[in-house]
Amino acid sequence: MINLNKYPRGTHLRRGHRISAVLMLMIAAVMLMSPRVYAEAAKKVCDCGGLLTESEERELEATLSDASSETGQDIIIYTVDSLENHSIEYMAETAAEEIRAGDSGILYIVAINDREYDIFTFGEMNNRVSAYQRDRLGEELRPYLSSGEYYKAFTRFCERAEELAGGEIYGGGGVSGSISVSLGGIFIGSAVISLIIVLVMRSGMKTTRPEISAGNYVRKGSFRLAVSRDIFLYSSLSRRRIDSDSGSHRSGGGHSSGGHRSGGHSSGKF
Amino acid sequence: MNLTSFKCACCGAELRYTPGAAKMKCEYCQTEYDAEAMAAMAEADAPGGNSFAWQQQSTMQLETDPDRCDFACSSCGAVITGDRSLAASLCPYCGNTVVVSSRLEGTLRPDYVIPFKINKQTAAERFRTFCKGRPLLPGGFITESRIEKVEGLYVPYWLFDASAQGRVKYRGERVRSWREGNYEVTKTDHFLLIREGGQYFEHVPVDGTSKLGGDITEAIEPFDMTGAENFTPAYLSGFLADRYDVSAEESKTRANERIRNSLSAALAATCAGYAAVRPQQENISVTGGRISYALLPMWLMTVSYKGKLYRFAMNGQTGKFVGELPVSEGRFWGFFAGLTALFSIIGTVISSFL
Repeated sequence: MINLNKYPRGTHLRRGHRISAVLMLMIAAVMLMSPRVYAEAAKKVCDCGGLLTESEERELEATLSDASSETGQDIIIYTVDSLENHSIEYMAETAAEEIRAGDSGILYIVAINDREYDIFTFGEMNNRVSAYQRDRLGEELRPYLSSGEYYKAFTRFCERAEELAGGEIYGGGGVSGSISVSLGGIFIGSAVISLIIVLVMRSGMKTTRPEISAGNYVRKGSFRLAVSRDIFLYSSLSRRRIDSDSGSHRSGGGHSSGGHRSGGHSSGKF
Repeated sequence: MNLTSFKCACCGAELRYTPGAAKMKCEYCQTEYDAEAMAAMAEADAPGGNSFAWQQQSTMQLETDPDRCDFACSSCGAVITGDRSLAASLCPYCGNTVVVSSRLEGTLRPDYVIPFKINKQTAAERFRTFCKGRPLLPGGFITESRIEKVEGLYVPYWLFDASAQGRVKYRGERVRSWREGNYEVTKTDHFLLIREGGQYFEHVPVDGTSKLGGDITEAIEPFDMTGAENFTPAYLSGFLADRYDVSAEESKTRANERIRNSLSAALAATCAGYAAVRPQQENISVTGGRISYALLPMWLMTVSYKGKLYRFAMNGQTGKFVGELPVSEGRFWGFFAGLTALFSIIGTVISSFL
């Protein structure tokens, strides 16, 4: 009989290991549950195009400020007279910089003389909102712009932006573009990967398994391949739509249009 | 019943086979004897030969239990009880090795034996090495566990030589994708693949004992049959040995299964260049098998930890160590929580950059 009691006791290591595991779990929980703090633009409405009355602008400013505070996303409305030979996307990015928008949010810009609009998502909001969702929102607001109901268009934008920040409308990821990755999804994905890893580690504790084959006992060079035929049978073709572009829309995700910050755009004419 | 034990010609003490040295050694006067030469001399001198002769004697068997039998130790006369498949044992009173020769004769005589190459001390060291680097092992397992028993055991195996021929049909797919405007087009070409071929297998081992279970006896494989010797009882000295209790006929099914799997894998490996290959029809036959009987070396170790016994085994020729270690549930869930936290942090950091 051989006694293995010559090794130092490892109880303190085991306890330390458990404590570190609990700490890690707490860090993850705190990270996932705590509200995230965003920088915000001081002014939410910039009506350089003069589409709103003073009272409408005040009301809208208050509504957007509340919505921004609640969602943690900067929700901004910006109007201009003219694009001055720039693209609407460039103007949207410039406007976001000019108004000192926070790290994450959504900006709705309208160029009245050029009859163009753009919805610009940036930061984490760009992950939450897909190109499809942006397009749908643009389509929904376009009739208001066409009929000159700008205030109505902007208040509806505010409502929808709030819902989009919470992932409540237009069926989440939609059919194209970026995938909205939620923190819950990251946690579940991490848990699944971790479970697979620890189960593999657990299976490694047992090495008594029957052999599947007799590969170790093949006489060297005895394998002979007498017949090897590859016969073509038929072909099948499948098509999958990659992106949805229609009429007056154009959309793009995760890029910069030569402006100052990157994000996703959905723009069109009204 | 014929019993055989091996005595030193110089001092008359017990002789034991020394793993690695391929010799029989007297532990008292250190005289060494070559196993094969000793067996040859024993044959020439028997019966009533000089001190090198096999000492055989008839003993009275007590047949009270049909599954067990008793026999007397040739050295001290103590009664040893064993089951009917026992072929070699150690007397618990005097330590004398007793080889039950009558269970190793005629159809029970093995064709080959692979002598032990690894000794008992190495087996204990391998156990410690085996436990290292196992994060789910209970913290006190290495320090608090005790090796209760380490036994060198010759396990009966049937060795199958066979030729396998097979014809397998597969469905193969080659996939190409490209973009046409706003569409991704995928073209899949479907093929029928026919492969026909054969392979020859030598000494595919299948254990001939029902005591250990295939998971252990196959897990310690492979054995290198180039190290096999023609059987002589001298190799059993100092070790336990069993004779088979599962017939060659019964073991054939397992050998055929393993051989079939090997040829199937070899034929499938020739279907290269396809995105997916699925077998449709498989016809594999195993023919012309020669079967031999061999005793192959295994160290069997019993370890106790917190009142529970754990069994481990080691290939006595190659040193391959196998077994099932206990798992600490606390560590299991601790690792799970820690890894989940780590991956969540990494995932959050990465997603913030996307």
